[in-house]
Amino acid sequence: MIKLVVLGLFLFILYSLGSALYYMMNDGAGSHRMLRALAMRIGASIVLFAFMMFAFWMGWIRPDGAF
Amino acid sequence: MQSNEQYYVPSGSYWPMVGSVGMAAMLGGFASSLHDNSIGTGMMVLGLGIILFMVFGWMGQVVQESEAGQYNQQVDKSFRIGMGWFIFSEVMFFAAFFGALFYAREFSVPWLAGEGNNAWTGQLLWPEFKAVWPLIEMPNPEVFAVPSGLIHAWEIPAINTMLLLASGATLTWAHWALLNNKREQIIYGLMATITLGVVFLALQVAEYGEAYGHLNLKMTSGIYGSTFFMLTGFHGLHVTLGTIMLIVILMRVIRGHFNAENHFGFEAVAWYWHFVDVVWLGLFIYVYWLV
Repeated sequence: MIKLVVLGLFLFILYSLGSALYYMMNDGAGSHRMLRALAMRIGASIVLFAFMMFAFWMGWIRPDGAF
Repeated sequence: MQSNEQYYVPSGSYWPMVGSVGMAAMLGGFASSLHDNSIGTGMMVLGLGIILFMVFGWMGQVVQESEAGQYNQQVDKSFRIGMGWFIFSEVMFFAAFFGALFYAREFSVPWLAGEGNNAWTGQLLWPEFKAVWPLIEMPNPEVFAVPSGLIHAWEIPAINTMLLLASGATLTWAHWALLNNKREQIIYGLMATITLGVVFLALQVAEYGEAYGHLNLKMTSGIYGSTFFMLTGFHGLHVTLGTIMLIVILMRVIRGHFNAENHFGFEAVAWYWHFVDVVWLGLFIYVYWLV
């Protein structure tokens, strides 16, 4: 379940980054759509990081280190 | 722009030739240095110097021509297409190394322990071997640098993740400012982004020092060490390059370049920085956190 949430958020981040690239390639200079996609990408990344830290704090995930 | 201005024929330039000579010297020098040829390393460094000279000279010329208003829409489009191919090569580059890590973790290491139809492989090669990731208990530890510990994800890597996420936010802030012609805010945003990038790099250096100096985690620590340093090292190199590009953009903004309608250089560097940030997120999840 945790892995699915992480994967889902990461895929969304890739999608926003990819759409920003598409807008940069096609909109020409000063694309507002590109900037909105990048803002969405950074927002989703912060959510993903916060979620991982929360899951770690709750004990849901732990790094698989052998030490 | 006039409607008949569909084609752009640039005047002759010697920069591609300079770049070719630089690349040939660097590659030839590198190959020679692998054969312990005495002039190899010198030639490689000279080649690198020529390439850097070419980058400064060529890009400087492009900036000057752009500011002089010599470029039309066609040229703008050609820059975007060039950037597209560059990004494609970058994505393929990281996909290859993430792919190598994925293959080792999910396939080859479990196979060595006898998974799938490889029971005999496990029995014949190293019967005692257990597939655990990170693979730091090697079946033949005498030929590897065996680490005594790992980099903990919630220490420097988590701080570095916060730094890069913050840098993505400050860069987006600067990007908004650019679209609204707020020059001062662009400068502050870019300066904050560059500072965060530099601090990230300093912490990465500290982390490598810890890995090499105290944990004995090295490039030679088997598949874990080599994929770890390959991915994080090349990512660090990309952050370095991104920081240099941001510094160039900052200097151009200070000099009054770019406006809300014309700023492809800024857009390209901004996207690159976001890309490097996402690669880090992938590293944080799959390399450091090992989920």
